[in-house]
Amino acid sequence: MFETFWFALPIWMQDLLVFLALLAPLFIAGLICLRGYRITPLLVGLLRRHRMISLTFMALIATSVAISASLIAQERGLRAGTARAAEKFDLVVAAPGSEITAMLAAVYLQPSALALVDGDTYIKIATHELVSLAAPLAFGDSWNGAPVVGTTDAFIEHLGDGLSTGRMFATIDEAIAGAAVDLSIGDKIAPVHGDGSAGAVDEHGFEYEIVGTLPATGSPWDKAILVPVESVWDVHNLPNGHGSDWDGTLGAPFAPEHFPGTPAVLVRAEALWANYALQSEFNTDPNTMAFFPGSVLAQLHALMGDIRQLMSVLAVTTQVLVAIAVLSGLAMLSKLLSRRLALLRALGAPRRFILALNWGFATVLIVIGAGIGLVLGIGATAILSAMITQRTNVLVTAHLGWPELHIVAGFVSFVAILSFIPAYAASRRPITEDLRT
Amino acid sequence: MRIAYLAAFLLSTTAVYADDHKHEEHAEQGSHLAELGEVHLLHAWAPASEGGDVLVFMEIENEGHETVTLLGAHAHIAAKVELVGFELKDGHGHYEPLPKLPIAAGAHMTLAPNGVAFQLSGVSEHLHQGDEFALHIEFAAGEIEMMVQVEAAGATQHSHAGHNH
Repeated sequence: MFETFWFALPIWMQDLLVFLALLAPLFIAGLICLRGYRITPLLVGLLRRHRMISLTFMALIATSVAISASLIAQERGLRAGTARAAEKFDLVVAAPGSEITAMLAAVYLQPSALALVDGDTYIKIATHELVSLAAPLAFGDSWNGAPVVGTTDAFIEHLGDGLSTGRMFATIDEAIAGAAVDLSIGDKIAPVHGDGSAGAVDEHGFEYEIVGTLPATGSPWDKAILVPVESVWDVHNLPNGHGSDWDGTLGAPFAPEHFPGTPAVLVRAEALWANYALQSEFNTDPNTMAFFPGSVLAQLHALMGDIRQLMSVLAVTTQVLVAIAVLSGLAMLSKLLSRRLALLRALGAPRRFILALNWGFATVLIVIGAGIGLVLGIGATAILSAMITQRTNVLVTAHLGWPELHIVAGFVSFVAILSFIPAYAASRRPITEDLRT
Repeated sequence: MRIAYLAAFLLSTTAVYADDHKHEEHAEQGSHLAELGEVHLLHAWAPASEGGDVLVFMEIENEGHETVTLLGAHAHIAAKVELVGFELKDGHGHYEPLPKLPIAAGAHMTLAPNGVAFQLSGVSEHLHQGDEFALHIEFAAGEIEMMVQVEAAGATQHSHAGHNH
């Protein structure tokens, strides 16, 4: 009955209710503890008098909340960013081997040594009745650290849903620059063999002219330079995929006997069912391995799921440790305040009032500290996202969401309940002794 | 002579053991294997669950000479069964319904997490590890019943995956 009701609710409503349920102990404790008392004037006085200590405690809580929340949000952002970067890669066909290695090479452009798909196999893939797009992806060259990838105009159209400026390459010495490559139309580049990191630069003695640029895709392909696949084969002294009677028109159809091989083929069918049918067919073929980058990534993310849980536990533990340190500090502070509190008691304030005042003081620090922590967390998340995007070329747009709010709400409630311990201890202090000190 | 008797005794017990093992294997195969013509269905499994939505996975081998088309399934424990495929959209993975799934002659289709699956909705029972339930799988050429084994809640494959039947 409850399950049916719960799952019928919209997701945002479920999240909101969980958030409120996590805050409920704080509100219930507050209602019981503060019932019948107006502690606000005294509380404000306490906060003013101990401004520096209060600010320090709030800053400690805020920092721990901000770090924890931004780290958890970052992990979620990176997960979504890597998934978005793989969205354009419906099905990748490569020679049998490691799916992860092939995915890292084809989707994230990480240098990898892959076996080649031969001409006959490529033609079989490209001419399959269910295939609407089959594009060779030939890696291995670079310019100024930017990978130079040989492919066809059909793949470029698919990747960027068109160009942002210029036109498609029409001859083998023309190229298209990714959105994050510092090149403009008309610039000329001479690629080198490899990723250029080994120091020794082995130039091919071949120049490309940039004739178009791609819009941003949020993937490492924004850092790539895309060239006709024929030119990649040509500069490596391989057949260019076409026979001797080739008229220079780039792209398909390729002649199997002149096709030197490609490390990966991007395959696309119009419908999802057709992509899965193609995967089973190419996976059964002993010459090929077909995989959905999205599925491989989801498996990796599932492995990372455990890490996320561990991160959440560590984040909460850190917050609780900081909170315990703050509560210990407050316990010491209440000893310093013992004379004033004893005076209140002597004037007729009941023990519960002293308990309410101490608890209120600790809870205000915790709630304000956590609130500031969330605001700081938004800033920290944006900074970390920008750093990760710059380092990985995977667009990470992390932002604080319900999971972080749930953790912070749980933390605030837990520590608020915990702060009854020093508050109770303060309310049980002997009046006479404290007045004498 | 004694050695000969001993050898004969050992051989006879080995034969009995081998026969028993064969029977066990057949019984095991019976629950892990279903056949429709030259289509073999193996290792159907689902993770343990408290009901609601449940995904069922298996291996399908088309050893025939013609394409077979998988259309869907039904089960008495679920209100609805759909053939679904995993897809990434806006950075998040989800399962999309598939109207059909052709399996080419000689091809093997693996229904696995983050891939193709049967999605059972409105499952009325709690599924515990070790339980079994029947799933009726519909092909264009006919229908076949297969027992689905319930594995641990976090399982990623059938406990007998990799065995050849």
